[in-house]
Amino acid sequence: MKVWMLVLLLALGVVAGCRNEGTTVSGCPSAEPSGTPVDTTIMAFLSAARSLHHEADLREKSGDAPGAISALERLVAMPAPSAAEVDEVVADTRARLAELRLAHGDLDGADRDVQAGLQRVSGPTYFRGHLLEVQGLVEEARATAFVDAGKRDEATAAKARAISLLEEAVRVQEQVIDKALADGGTQ
Amino acid sequence: MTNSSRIGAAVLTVLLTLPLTMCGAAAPAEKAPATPAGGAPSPETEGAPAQSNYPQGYPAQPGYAQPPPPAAAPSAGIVDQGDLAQRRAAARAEMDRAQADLEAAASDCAAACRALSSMERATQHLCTLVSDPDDQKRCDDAQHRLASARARVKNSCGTCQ
Repeated sequence: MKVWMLVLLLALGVVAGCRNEGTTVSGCPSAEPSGTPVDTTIMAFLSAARSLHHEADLREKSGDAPGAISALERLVAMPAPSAAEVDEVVADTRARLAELRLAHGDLDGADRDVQAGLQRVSGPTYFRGHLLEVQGLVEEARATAFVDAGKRDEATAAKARAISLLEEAVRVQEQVIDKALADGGTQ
Repeated sequence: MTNSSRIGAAVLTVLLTLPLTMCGAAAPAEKAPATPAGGAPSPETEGAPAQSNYPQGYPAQPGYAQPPPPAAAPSAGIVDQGDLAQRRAAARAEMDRAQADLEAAASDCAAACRALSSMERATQHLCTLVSDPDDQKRCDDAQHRLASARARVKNSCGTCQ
């Protein structure tokens, strides 16, 4: 799924979760009857995130990877309101940034993005699993680079880290699937 | 029961319940006068004006059927109105439940499919890195988990797009 679609779904989820019931608003991050709805900030952030991911899509399609990275860097530099959906969007943006940097050989930059993304999400979530997957790819690329440089020991260590990370990604996503299907009350 | 069959059952229940509910209370009030098998009106009912056309307090006309006792119809109507409202509310609640189930199932399957894609990519990369028996064992384990997850997702959600 494209990231902007995820952002849209999250935005719609916030809107759909809010139901005006007479004088109170239930299911919203701000359920204060008379106060200013604080979820406006979240909605604004998600809307901006959607625009910036769309911009990154366009730049990526036209071969402008630095432009795509720049759009996503603007997103992660924005003040992020405190909300689970915001954390997920930021984590997914970090994963996308890491993939873009990885594709251009910036392994250290990719690693930094993965680490920053992992700080946003914990537990068995798709976003955490995806970040671990990308980190595994970074270590895989690092192993190849060490082999090319004739550094066998470093290459072996990087490959071992890659396998462990990819294994962990598989386990996390397996749990995500189990949870999703259990929530759906299947079987 | 799979998600899709559960949803199907819920939607079918609503679809079957709604028409019954909507027709239920209307029947007694709009009941057509009985006619002989051939379809010709009976001498008693032929040309008779509808009951509502009689002004109250007028004597019954010779040759016309006597109207039913006035108290019976209104009290039956009140019961039917209450019953109708109750059945409409039940149908509405059932519809809401079915819709919520449908949305939840679609969302759960989207999440499962997305996770499955990531699992496939991770397994593919893991297995390309195999260089010794221990690595091969880990690759086999990941492939086994992937196959199992793929089967569960297919069983519950069908194909992922």
